[in-house]
Amino acid sequence: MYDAVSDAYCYLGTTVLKNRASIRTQAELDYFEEQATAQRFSEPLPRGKLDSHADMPRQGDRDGRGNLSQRALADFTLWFLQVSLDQVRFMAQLLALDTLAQRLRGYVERSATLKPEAARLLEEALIRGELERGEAPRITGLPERTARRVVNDAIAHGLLASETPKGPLSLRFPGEALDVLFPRLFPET
Amino acid sequence: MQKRTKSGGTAKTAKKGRAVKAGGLTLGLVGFAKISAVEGVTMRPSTRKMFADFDRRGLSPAERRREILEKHAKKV
Repeated sequence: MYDAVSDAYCYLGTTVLKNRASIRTQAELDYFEEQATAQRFSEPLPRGKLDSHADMPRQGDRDGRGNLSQRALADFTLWFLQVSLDQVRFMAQLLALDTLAQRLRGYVERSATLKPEAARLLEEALIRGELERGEAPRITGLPERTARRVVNDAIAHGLLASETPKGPLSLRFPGEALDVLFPRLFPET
Repeated sequence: MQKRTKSGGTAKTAKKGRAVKAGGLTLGLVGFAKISAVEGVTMRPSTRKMFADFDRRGLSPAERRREILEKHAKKV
């Protein structure tokens, strides 16, 4: 799948790359992609619509200095920001961070070993970025020893981790949870 | 003092403009290796060997692309 923009490399009306080499396995695709891309890197970049500025004569004394064009710089900046914005929107749609808290809750509910209170810890870590281990009883509403066990369970599942054994906890995304937490980024196979 | 060109720039800046016009930017295999390294992909020795062979035979970009496609294409 090649989903960033619609382009000529995909079959018409789809986001599936054209399989010109009739490749069937990921390993074959990786090898072909490596060699084909390396070859493309060895050739000059194609000229794009912004390159025409490089060939233009100077656009009068009011457009930049010497051969440097103020208008061309503005055009390039606008293009760059539009592409950046497009990429940000694309990734935001894939990550769907605004509904991640719901998916974290769902993951905890589906787990046979995590207590439901673990979801509150994960949500807190999602919102604040980091939380102190000592805050677990307050956040979960559980007695200290039980809250500590909930924290340890979340750590064992790879959902929370810290840089040091007693350091603040932050959210992690273990491989086995990716299809639940980021279903658009890692579709279930 | 530098000479002014017809377009108003100095001779030095005009020369720079022509250089841009003459050929597009080529990132090259070194650039490819560096960009791929960011994604944890390293170029296989067989790929390096293949490009060395292309250079030795003096193949054009079109010929190189055809050889790569033929090498990987499944004979259906």
